[in-house]
Amino acid sequence: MNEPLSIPGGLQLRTQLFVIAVGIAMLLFILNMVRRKQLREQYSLLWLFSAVVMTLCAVFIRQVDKLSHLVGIHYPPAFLFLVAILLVLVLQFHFSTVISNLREQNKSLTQDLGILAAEVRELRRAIEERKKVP
Amino acid sequence: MSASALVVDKPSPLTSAVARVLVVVPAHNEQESLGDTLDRIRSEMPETDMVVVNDYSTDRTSEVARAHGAVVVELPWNLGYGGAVQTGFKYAVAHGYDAVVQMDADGQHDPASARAVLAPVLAGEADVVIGSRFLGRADYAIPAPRRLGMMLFGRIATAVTHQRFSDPTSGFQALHRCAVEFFARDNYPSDFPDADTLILLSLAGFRVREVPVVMRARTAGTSMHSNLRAVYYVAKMLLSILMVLLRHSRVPRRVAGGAFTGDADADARRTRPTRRTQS
Repeated sequence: MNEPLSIPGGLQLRTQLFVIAVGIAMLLFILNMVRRKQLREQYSLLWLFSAVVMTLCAVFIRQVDKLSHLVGIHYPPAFLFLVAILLVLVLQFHFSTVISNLREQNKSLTQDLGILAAEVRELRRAIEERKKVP
Repeated sequence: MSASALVVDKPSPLTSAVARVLVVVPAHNEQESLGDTLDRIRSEMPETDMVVVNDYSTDRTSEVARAHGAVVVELPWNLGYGGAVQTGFKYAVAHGYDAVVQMDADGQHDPASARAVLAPVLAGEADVVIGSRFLGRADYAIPAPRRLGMMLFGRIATAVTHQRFSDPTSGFQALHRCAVEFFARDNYPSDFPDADTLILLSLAGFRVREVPVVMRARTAGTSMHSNLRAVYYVAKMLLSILMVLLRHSRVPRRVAGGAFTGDADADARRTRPTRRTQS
């Protein structure tokens, strides 16, 4: 009953081709975003990696199947989901570190901006005072 | 390890006649109590300058502060208590002040105690002085959960630093220039400085001392500590203390003349080329 799902090649060729197409489209989309400078190289790497993993999983479906059994998951699609979730987690974590960094820089800029604005105000006031007293 | 072992020498004693002292007052919607607080600081310590860090208030905090003789640093959005205090420290460093007194705007901290808090710093006896409401006299009842939290983290700080801290959350402090510079860098939490900050100071070789002060119930405004946040606070503080201890080797050390060395990475960078030529 579970034969069409678990044996290699059980996944339909059509499905395989569809996933490969989506993977390649994703890859091209990300590369194009980087080319147009809407995505920085350093942040695109993880996405590119995800797209490549997705495509490779579709191409080498038999090996994925074997690997899945090797780690003790006897329902290969579950293994694919696990890989997908792990990739998403890695991406999310990456974003958390980026956000932490941005927050720190943001705080620093905010403080310096506040101080500089105060300096300008004080200097202006000092100049005005001087003008008043000839 | 003993914190005092790291101290190479005392900072140069600052005589109050020449020392330039800045009073840093972080304020968030404190128009009711700020004016009175500033007036009392002015009458207690007429020779000091005052800077109010307005942490994105929606009321007339800035106008009140200016009217009462303080320089106002306005933050374009809310940074939180620690972020506001650190702004004041950065201002002090930029203007070359010798010492900083940090006080809350809400009237909890009695300016009459400010001189006592500042004195050990000016005398060169301590780098950081914390005004403790438990060594002194608290004129109000502290909510039980809050008191419990203060006790717990105070105990932890005592265990790590071998020094008694009765009031680690106190925002009534005086700091020598070297400690101000240390905090103006990357070493100050953006939310609420607490036992973690004291442990960090102690590990970095600063001499921390407590003096008794009088604290009152808030005269106006809303307290920043709500019971809802208690769980978050305890978890965050435990993690924060753990991180301070884990980062121990990377903490810049206070050294001769009140200055301190750079971070461990910078030291490594500096020493690496000489090592290479030797080998």
